[in-house]
Amino acid sequence: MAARRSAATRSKPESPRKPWGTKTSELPKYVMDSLYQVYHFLGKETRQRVGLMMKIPVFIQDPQVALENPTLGVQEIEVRLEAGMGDGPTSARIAVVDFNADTQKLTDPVVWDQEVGWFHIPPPRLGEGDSPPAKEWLPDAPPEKSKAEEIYREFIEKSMVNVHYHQLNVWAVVQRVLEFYEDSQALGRPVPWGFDGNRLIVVPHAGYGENAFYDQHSKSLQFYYFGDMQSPGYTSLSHDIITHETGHAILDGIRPLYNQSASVQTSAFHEFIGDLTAILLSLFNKDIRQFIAETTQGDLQAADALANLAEQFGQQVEGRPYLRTAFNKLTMQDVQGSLSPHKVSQVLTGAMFEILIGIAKKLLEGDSTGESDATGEVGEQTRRVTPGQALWWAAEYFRRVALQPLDLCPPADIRFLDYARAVLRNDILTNPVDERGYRQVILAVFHGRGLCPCAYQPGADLPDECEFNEIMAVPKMDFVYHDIGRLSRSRTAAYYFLSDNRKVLRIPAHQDIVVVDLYDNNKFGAAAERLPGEVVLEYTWQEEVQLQGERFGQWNGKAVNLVCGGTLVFDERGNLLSWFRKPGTQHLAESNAQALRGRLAAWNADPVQANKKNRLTKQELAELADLEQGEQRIATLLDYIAAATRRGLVGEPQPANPFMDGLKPVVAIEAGGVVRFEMTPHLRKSDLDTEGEGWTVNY
Amino acid sequence: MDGQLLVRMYNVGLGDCIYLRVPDTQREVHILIDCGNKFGQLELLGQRLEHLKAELPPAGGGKKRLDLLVVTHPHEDHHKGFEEQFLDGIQIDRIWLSPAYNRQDPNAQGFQSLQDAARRALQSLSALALGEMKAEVEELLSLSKAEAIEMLTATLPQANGIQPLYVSADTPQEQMRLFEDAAIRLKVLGPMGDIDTYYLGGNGQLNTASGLTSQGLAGGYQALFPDPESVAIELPKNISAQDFKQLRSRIHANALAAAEIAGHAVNNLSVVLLLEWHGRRLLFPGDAEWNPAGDGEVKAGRSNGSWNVMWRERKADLSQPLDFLKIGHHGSENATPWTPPDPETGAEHPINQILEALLPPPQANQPLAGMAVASTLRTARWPSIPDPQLLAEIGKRVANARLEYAEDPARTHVPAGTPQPQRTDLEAQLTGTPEEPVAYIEIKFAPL
Repeated sequence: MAARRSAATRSKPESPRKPWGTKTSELPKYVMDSLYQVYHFLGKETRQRVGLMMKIPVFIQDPQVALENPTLGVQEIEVRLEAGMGDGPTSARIAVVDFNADTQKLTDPVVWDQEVGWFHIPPPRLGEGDSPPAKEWLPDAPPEKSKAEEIYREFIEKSMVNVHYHQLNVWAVVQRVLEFYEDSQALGRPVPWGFDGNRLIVVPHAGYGENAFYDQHSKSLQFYYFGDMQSPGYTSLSHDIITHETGHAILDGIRPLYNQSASVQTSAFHEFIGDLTAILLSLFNKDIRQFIAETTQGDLQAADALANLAEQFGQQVEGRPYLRTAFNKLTMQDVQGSLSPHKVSQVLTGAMFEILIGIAKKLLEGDSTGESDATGEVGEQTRRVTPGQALWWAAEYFRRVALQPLDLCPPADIRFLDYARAVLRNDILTNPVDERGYRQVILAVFHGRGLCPCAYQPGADLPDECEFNEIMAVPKMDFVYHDIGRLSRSRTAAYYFLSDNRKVLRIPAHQDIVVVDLYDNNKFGAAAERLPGEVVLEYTWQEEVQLQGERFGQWNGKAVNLVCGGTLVFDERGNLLSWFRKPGTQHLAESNAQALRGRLAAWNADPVQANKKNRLTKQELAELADLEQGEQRIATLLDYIAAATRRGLVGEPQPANPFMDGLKPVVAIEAGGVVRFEMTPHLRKSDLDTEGEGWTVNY
Repeated sequence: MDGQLLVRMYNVGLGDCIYLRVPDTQREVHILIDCGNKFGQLELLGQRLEHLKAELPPAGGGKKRLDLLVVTHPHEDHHKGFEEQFLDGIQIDRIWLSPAYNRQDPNAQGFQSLQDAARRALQSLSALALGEMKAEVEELLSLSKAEAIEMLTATLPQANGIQPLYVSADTPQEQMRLFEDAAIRLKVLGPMGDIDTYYLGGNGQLNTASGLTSQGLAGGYQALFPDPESVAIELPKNISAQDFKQLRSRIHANALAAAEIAGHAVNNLSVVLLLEWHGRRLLFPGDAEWNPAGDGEVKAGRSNGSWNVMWRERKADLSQPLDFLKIGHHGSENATPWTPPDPETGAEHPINQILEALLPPPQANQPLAGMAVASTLRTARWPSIPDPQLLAEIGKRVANARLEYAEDPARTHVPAGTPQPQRTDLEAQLTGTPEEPVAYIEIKFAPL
């Protein structure tokens, strides 16, 4: 990183506004280098104070909202100032490439000035003898007080047509999302992308279209523009769209196998994470939080600004003010049979938003401990909490509640119930005391949305049949233990561990195991305390399932892989904290399964009189339970493929033609007689119509 | 002359080549509708035309007479066979072409601009694509080869001393008079003359699922996809050349969308012919498509399907049962106006009323009268053509249904034992030599 010259010595940018400068511009280079090396150990305020963050003005919703409501207009967000910043902008994990495929034009990138620490518009190409013109700096955010004035409007209108500002805007928001997920309040670790390589390519003006999407194959986020070309809408200026698509990219890095469309819930989970990311990033914007708090007095039911995602996109494209909203009451029953990931995702988005509201309400109602005094009378200690404070604390808490469970989730075939269990399990691990009673809020919401169909009553104990019972306690496993330090440093060492424990993990003896990912994290808990580190081990194997019958259409006679596996989470000492798994059916031979079922039936028929030999051991019961789950998974997978085929939602198996097939929501990729079904995450309005007719073939 | 109307569907693989011999007052009128195929060999088309030539009457000067050549639309599976070598020795009296062939049509400037944009986009993509993608793009580029268009619009008419007539539903009848007997009529039901308005959303606008629209775009489609020869693209400095190439090959949503949209538009500009002869009604719809959006109604500012438009503008002509239907687009699901009822609710799509009118469902104690033939071939490239559900539905409604056809059960297929209309690809199974494809399927109609 170049030396930061003092304000007195560095060149003053020729800009109507003073460009951003650090408060510690006097610090010499060697000091800044040292600080940079310990970046992850410094708190946010310290990073800001010492100049390791930089402030970028971005649209916090989109230009249309900014013009209609200056309160929700432009704000400076802070992102990490990296040693290797470059033109584009380009940072360690993100490279903006402004290429328009419709016009075949590459727009020059915004230029990073290392000396000043800010960006300027690329200079025009010089002719012979021409003097270099003065640098035209990108403006800072307009002053807060100008929000109702002409100066503010001028900033917005100029930014809307300044393509170099778009480059900066989209880069900053993507960078912010990545840092948000890596924060200790979230995953507490570096988050990889879902492709080989480390740099996500961001294309702010990819072409004309009502679309924006993440494409794993080209390692890119592509943003298009739409509407009247006199004043087009740019998806690269929509905060919700950028954060939504970056959410897809991040989930693809955390769980790359979720791209496989084994069920509508797996596809819907991708959409949920996109929407959740948009909601969270908006929640963490102080202007939005302040606006919500003031207009709603803390009643988030009225917080339209937050929940109405992508207003501008919706207005221009469909005439509706929003694409999807978190304010919904949908339950799993309401979306049963639907094959629309967007529609189904609303159940989980709505549930998590309801949890957020529940947390904020509890905070707003104050700390009512209800503790009795020496006379036995119950007294109350209440503390007045402002709506703004409640919302901020709720947001902080909610980030942990919503994002940390991702590391616990199974490696493939995620269902909403899996995530719900992971939410609760993580809350137990990171908030064991739960003195404010948020866990009851979470349980009530998940049950109310139909994620678990049991007869749970809010405030009561969980019924025996409740799906959440399993995760309430630490799972006890008769492991052959391996040194956790050795295991955490090597995928091969992790494999040895898995192989030694095939039986207890119910991994078929003949199956080869893939260690999908192995990492550790350092997270904060509910009280912002640093938690003991966790080691996360994801593993899979695949069991082939035949597609037999007319209902599979052109795939009749092919095979599909049922991805099985699990995610094990250990603490630093090697104690198991969590195990979420996706069982198969091959861990038990047919004959053994029949024998076990026979013994179980005999035992259940009359436990008193039954022969003790019929009593199943804990291991045997677990094997049988996994077998039943595996069979259910196969049935669900087959039903989904058949339903998608019948509705014409599956693209022709033309892997060379990804975007033609991408016009269908599901793509079938065949290799060696085995078909893999993948979902293409994107914002196309036609996705909302997957309930209707199938698509046509054309040539 | 036996006084019967002959329909002969030549087996050309995945394509159309249809010969009509229509008895008129003093003579028979000989009509050829299309000659082309996809994937198949050119020689096969030549053989079919040679067979046809042998049956045509003499025209004098050692040539044979073809009264009318109709080329429904500019796709290779309909016009690839029109090579000079194959047509040598045939005197063609009239050529009717789809207006899609007419670059000067003032009502199709948006369409032509879109075609050009799609072509430029594909050419640009072709330079980047690799392997199967490249083959795919090359195939799309080959669909409407300039050479074939030049042959039909210039070379062939000149050789025959005629001008091609670009026909539409708005072409005056007197320009299309073909028969001496005024009661015999060959009508053009589609496309409508105002192409840009009906099929491209008006004023060159096109609102599609992919969002590709020329609305507001400076210069319409001309601004899109500049000629790759004229554009020198710089390499970005912050990613590798390899990553940039991969990126460009994947930012082609609009390029392939343009090709797809253009392909749909071309299909919807198919010449749709209705032949009315002595009480008989025969329909040859080319590759005309229907649009399922909404309730299938025609809407301004939308790319409407040809069937949707015909149902609104030529409903009287479509409201009576047919004696013969050439199944559109080789049996694909979007070219015959019928779709299965909603699997959940059982509701019928309004478009189904068109097929209800053309090929009414069987009634008790009423023999089936209509017939239908599909000129088709099931390929690995498009395994869902012909669509099994569509063929099964048509099979219930026609007198020439086949129960004995058998397809490979490992692929998409019509289930064994299901009645389906005659198919050029499977008819050989009913001959003594199933391994020898039939040269054609022909049906004769006596006057009513």
